[in-house]
Amino acid sequence: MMRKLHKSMFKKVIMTLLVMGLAYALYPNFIKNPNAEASDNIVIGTPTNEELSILETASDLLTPYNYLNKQSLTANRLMQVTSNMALPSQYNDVFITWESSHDIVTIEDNISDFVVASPQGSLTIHVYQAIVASTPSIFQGAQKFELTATFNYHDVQLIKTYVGAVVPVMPDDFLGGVLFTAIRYASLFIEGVLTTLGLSLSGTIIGFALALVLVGLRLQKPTLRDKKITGLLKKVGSGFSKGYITIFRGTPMIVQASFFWYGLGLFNDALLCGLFVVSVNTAAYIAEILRGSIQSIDKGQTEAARSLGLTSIQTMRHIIFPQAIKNSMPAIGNEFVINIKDTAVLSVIGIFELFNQTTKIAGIHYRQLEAYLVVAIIYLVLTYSITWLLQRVEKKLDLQVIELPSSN
Amino acid sequence: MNKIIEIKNLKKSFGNTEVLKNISLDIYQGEVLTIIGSSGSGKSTLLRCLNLLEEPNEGIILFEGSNLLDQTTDINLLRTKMGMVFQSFNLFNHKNVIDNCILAPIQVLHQEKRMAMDYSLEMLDSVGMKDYAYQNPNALSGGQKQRVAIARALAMKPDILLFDEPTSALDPEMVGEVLEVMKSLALQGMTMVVVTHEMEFAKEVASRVVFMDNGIILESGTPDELFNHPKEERTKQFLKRVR
Ligand SMILES: Nc1ncnc2c1ncn2[C@@H]1O[C@H](COP(=O)(O)OP(=O)(O)OP(=O)(O)O)[C@@H](O)[C@H]1O
Ligand SMILES: [Mg+2]
Repeated sequence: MMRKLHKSMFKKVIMTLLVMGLAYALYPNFIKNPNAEASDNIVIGTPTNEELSILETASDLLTPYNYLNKQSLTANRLMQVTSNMALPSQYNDVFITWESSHDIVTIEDNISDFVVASPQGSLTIHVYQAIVASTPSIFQGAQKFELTATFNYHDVQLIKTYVGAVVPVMPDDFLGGVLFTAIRYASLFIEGVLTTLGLSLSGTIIGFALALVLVGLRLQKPTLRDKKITGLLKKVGSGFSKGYITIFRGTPMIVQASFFWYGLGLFNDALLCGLFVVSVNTAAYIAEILRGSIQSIDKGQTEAARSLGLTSIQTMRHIIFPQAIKNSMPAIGNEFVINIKDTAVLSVIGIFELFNQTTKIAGIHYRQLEAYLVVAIIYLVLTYSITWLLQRVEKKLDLQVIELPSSN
Repeated sequence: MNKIIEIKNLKKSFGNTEVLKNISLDIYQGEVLTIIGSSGSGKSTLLRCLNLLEEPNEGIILFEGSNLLDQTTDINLLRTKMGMVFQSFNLFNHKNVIDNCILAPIQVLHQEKRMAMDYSLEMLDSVGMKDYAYQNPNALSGGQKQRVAIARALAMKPDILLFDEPTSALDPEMVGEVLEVMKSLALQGMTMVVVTHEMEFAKEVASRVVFMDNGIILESGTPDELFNHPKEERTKQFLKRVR
């Protein structure tokens, strides 16, 4: 009966994983951002060196321009087009013509004047208008287009192609904004989730391994039979472990992260530094958890083992530790859940885990409320589902121990 | 008769309280020595000093010729020859009955698993627990647990067994089954030191009885001498009380 229940549990987990995998595989292209690129220059005719340099200067300086944000559209920004653009038509004696590959962006024939502010005072530029027909809905996703600019000088030409995309516009209303944020930036959120999960899971695992060493040292106690030097070493080890635990549990992780990243500068990869900080921090907490559950194991267990001739190490390995680890599983699992939340502070050293990723997303449209609501929900789902999963695993382990006798 | 253990001038204090004051005692091969005395008189402490679960402060304990208190003595090796049975059983909670028994033979004596299993099953059989070999300890009654604990100690083929009030934590109806096992061990010639409050057992099975009071051995002798003709006033008082 119990066995069957577990099997169906197991099936559910497998099914969930399969569905998630499938969803990721079919993960609609439109949500992913197309890649930004500008083609290499193509030169037609045989320009002199001077002509070529004039053409190249023009093609470097003159890019599409966005009225709304008042910024030139580099290849990257062309991926985020939401409104009409201005396309420069002339630079000194260089004349430029534009073509669009897609009718979502149409280029008007007539040239208009466009005034921009520059350090030398206002400047008038002749431009073509590139009209964006409409912005796609969030469910259509980004619409790719290509802009081809032909730079004409004397009778030579330089051709440059930009790939861009017209992207959906964030709705003004709150609910629409939340949905837009969640769907449009799903891939960014997923990146953040993966970083956060990766950091907290591996941090917990490495922390656990370190905690084993720490708790081993912490529990060393000189006995009357020890030689002087052994007794001294035991004291030093235990003192070190005590100090370590006090320091790492007594200071905020954000301070530790800044200390190691900005202060000591031992690492040249922020992610590695973050993993280090989470690990050493978690190690201190897990060491205390382990110490607590090791010390809560009845002294009689040790005495029985020692009376049979087991060494203290064998006693720890075969008798105390297996029982202690089982008792501390819930608390260690809880450390993992805590890490999911606490790795948010690693944004301080520039890791794009879930929280930092959200800050980035919020900055794109200056709509903080929507972005932080979405991330709050993501955190909640993560911690809740992992807590649920861990409880299931614990129950299963617990049942197995009681089940053993009947299965034999 | 051969002395298996010789205790000379043993002293043990916990902090400032002297719990064992200059104890000297010989234990002979094949005898059943019972230790009686009022609560707090140091019976358990004495027993636990014999396998160094407590570290004595002073004195000599010779076990089969080697001094336990010598720094160079391999205490783990000597412990394999001294089985101990505790008041609270102390079975390993996370291991089933047979695994409780074979752990030390495999890990400490480096026996083959097959061999350890066979011998442990034999020992479980001798205490009437063979059918429970694959049960978990928490599924057993107190009496059953204690019998398993005895089998676990026997699986090491010890030269001597130390019992610290093996029946004190048991419901009255289970005391008998454990005492039966101990009696049959005594009949087979096992050397045993038994701290107990079971005066009937002491009378019937013991070859010698030691009365401890306040950290010293006040009186010792055969069960007849001690129970029927005690010399010391304190012994008489104690016996009157437990009767
Ligand atoms: N680990 C310890 N630390 C401090 N004092 C202890 C310790 N163990 C025992 N004692 C003290 O030593 C004295 C003797 O204890 P012991 O357990 O040997 O008595 P006992 O004769 O076995 O008594 P009981 O019949 O109650 O088991 C008691 O006063 C006890 O409080
Ligand atoms: Mg006692």
